[in-house]
Amino acid sequence: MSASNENLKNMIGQEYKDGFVTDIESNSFLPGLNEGVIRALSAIKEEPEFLLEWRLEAYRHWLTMEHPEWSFVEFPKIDFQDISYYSAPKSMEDGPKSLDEVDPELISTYNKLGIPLEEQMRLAGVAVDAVFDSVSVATTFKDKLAEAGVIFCSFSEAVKEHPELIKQYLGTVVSQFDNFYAALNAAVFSDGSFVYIPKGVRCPMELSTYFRINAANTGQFERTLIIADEGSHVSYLEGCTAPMRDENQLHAAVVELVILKDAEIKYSTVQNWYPGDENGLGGIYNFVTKRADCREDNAKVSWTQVETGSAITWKYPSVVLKGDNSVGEFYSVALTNNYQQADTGTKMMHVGKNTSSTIISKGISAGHGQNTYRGLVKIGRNAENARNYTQCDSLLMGDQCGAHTFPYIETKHPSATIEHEASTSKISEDQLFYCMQRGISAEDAVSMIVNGFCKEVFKELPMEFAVEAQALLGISLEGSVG
Amino acid sequence: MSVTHLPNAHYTSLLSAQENHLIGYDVDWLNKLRKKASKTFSATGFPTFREEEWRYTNISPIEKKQFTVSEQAGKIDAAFVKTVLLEGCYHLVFVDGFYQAELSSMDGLPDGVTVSALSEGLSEHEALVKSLLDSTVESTALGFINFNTALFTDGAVISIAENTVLEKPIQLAFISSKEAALKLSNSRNLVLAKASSKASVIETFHAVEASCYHTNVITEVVVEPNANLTHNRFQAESLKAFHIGGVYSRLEKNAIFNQYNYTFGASLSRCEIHATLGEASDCTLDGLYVGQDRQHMDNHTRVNHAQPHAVSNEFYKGVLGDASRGVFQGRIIVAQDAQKTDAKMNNRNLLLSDRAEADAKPQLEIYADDVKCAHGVTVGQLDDTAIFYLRSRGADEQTAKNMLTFAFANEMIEHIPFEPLRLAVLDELLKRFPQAGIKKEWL
Repeated sequence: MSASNENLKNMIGQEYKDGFVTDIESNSFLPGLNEGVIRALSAIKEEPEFLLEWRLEAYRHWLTMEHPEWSFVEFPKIDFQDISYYSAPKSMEDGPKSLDEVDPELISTYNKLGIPLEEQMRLAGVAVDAVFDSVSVATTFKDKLAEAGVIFCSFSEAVKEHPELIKQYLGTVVSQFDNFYAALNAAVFSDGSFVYIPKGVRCPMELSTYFRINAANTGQFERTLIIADEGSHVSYLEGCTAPMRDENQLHAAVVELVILKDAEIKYSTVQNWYPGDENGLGGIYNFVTKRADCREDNAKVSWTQVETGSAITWKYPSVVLKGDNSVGEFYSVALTNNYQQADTGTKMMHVGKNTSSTIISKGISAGHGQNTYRGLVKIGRNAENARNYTQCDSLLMGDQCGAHTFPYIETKHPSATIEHEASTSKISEDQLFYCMQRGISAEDAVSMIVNGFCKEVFKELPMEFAVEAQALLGISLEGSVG
Repeated sequence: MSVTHLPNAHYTSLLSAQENHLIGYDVDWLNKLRKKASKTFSATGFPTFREEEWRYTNISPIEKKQFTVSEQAGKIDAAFVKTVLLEGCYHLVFVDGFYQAELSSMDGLPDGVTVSALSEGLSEHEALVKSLLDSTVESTALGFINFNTALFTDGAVISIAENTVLEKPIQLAFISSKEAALKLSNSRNLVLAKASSKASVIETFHAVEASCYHTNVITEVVVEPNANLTHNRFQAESLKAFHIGGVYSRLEKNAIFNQYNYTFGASLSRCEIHATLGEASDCTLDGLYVGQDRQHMDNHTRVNHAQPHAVSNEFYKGVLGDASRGVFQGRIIVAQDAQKTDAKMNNRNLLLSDRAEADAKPQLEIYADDVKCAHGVTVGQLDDTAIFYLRSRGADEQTAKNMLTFAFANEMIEHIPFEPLRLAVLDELLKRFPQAGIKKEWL
């Protein structure tokens, strides 16, 4: 603890550290959305006909949809004609053949972020697909992964190289008509990651994607598709940052996970989009649809998320437990400080027999933050012996913030066992006093207590991520202590 | 949050048709209030299940049935009335939404206590009615409240004087006659417990026969400082009926309010229990819903901790058999100033059949940091080991299950302090489990 406290101490007092703008030429569409934009986007990507059709269907459906109003977040109406739907770093045009050809400016951006794209990466043993604004910049460790038969590449590349897999799986978990933002994403998504783990393969390293919004006035719409074939296993990490800007930027991603028989996916997210300044100006709107489909028996999926960034976070990583004996897990830490708002949680849809799900959600509110847990547990008509355990804890820091819990529990089978618990607390004077009389400063004491509060979730994260997550919490809480 | 929805033309037309027949149409302020509600309803109509608060309850059958307004009370057998009146109470009897003086009895009311039907006492108690009516409901959002305000035909107005303890409870019995079929009735009750008073009100709902009708009864309650009010709601409507109910209360400093809500009847029922808590007030909301056949039972509670130091406790239990569906939505709101709040909410459901469904939405909305709030929900079936124990004692499986189910439900009944009510609720419960072989005398 003392080492990480040292780290925390250095970090407290920092502002949003990823808020630099990388000065590179980028090639963007003018703001606006119509079928022409989608066709142009699809043409740039050299996409096959079926994908263009798929996008257009989504777009036409999107036009008929109304913006959803049920969430517990407030923001001005988004003008979808005022967003540029494509932004690519210009130097990508010529297409880097290898890492060495990647724009050094880009590489240094990632280095600044502490994302070890090259050497550091090799040491860390993590394969990274980095998405900068809308296009994928580089994928490391491709060869090594190919040896194991694992496909890990950008979405556009997958469309070209493996159209049959895309055709088979795209939109089967989150259909292009699923919801307002998923439909928008389906129409205009520009890139993302694609992972395929073949039968019986245990992915030899952790896969990681790094998202960054750089250009102003752009929306980022990426789409991730991960397929774990029979008996395979993969651990996937996702991180996000964005520069500081006064206006709000939209990030509407879709993540689809397909888990076949006996396979397992572990999906971890550390989300640190720019949260806006202390007056609530600027920041990212993070409206994401994430869903996993445990399609066959004994499938297992685990979502872990640490949400410290974004002006507004509005997402519910979900699991459809179709296969018998399948397992869904959701571990979340969501922190809102200043004027951040979060409406996040999960959905566990039990369809198969003997399915089980666990939900552990920790919400921390500070400043004027509003933090909402919203979760659905649904036990279907045939879901014999389904089990769910849900625990949502909220921690309030200060009297200007809010912590809300909105669980939905729908049960259609008498053999279901469902337990739901929720509690709300604050950092007690006693705890603080105890730490301080031992010589720990107030700020350190608070981060210790907060980290302890989140421990159940952090222990689910891969080690490097856990360290980063703890540090992020420290930074994000800065100024809310005392 | 509102979803655009075309108001139902049939019900909108009822409003204007009734305008000049209702009680108080010649009272200027009341007429204005009704007009306003009628206008809002005409614009919004009934809520739809697309609205977040109504996502588990689809009231479109009410719209489709096109109920017409009861214009007068149907004939009713005095012997039937006797069976539903509780001993040891003051009684106000309403048939199809109209007060029946000859069936009611209020002998021996102490001084300073007003118990009157709106239709009889409106002019005498106009100031009281004016101060209470529409004072505790949040009528902007809910179509049924506006509908009720625009159309209520009668109801009770109750006021307990300061420092008065009313020994006997007041029973408001709402009975639907044979003539009520395909009719709707709207009633509005107003209850004021003045400072340091104590009283108990029991609302009961019955039907002469199993016909299809619609009742909409809203009660507004104000509990003044240090007063103690108990409110019971015992709903045993016909199994084909549609019941919409609401209890909207405001608690002032140090007030105590206990609300017990027993739901047995109606094919579709929805009950809203709302309470706004003043400083250091104490609020208990308990409920039991027992569903059979294809009954749909929806209970919504909302506890608004507006001031510091208040305590609230909620405990709702559901027993759902056949293809019935139980819904519980509770919301606890703790305002920024309401420090030291202690709020608890609990919902437990027992599913007896694989066609039954339980939906729960226990919600916390918290804006203060020094509070204790907790909620819990469980859904499950009977404990196998408990069944095994009873079977080892010679009970067959069905009897064992019935006994355990009965015990699960009885937990909400056995603590009713007023014995005639407890026995009446118990009777109703036993009626639902005749196979259990449990005799009332044993209890």
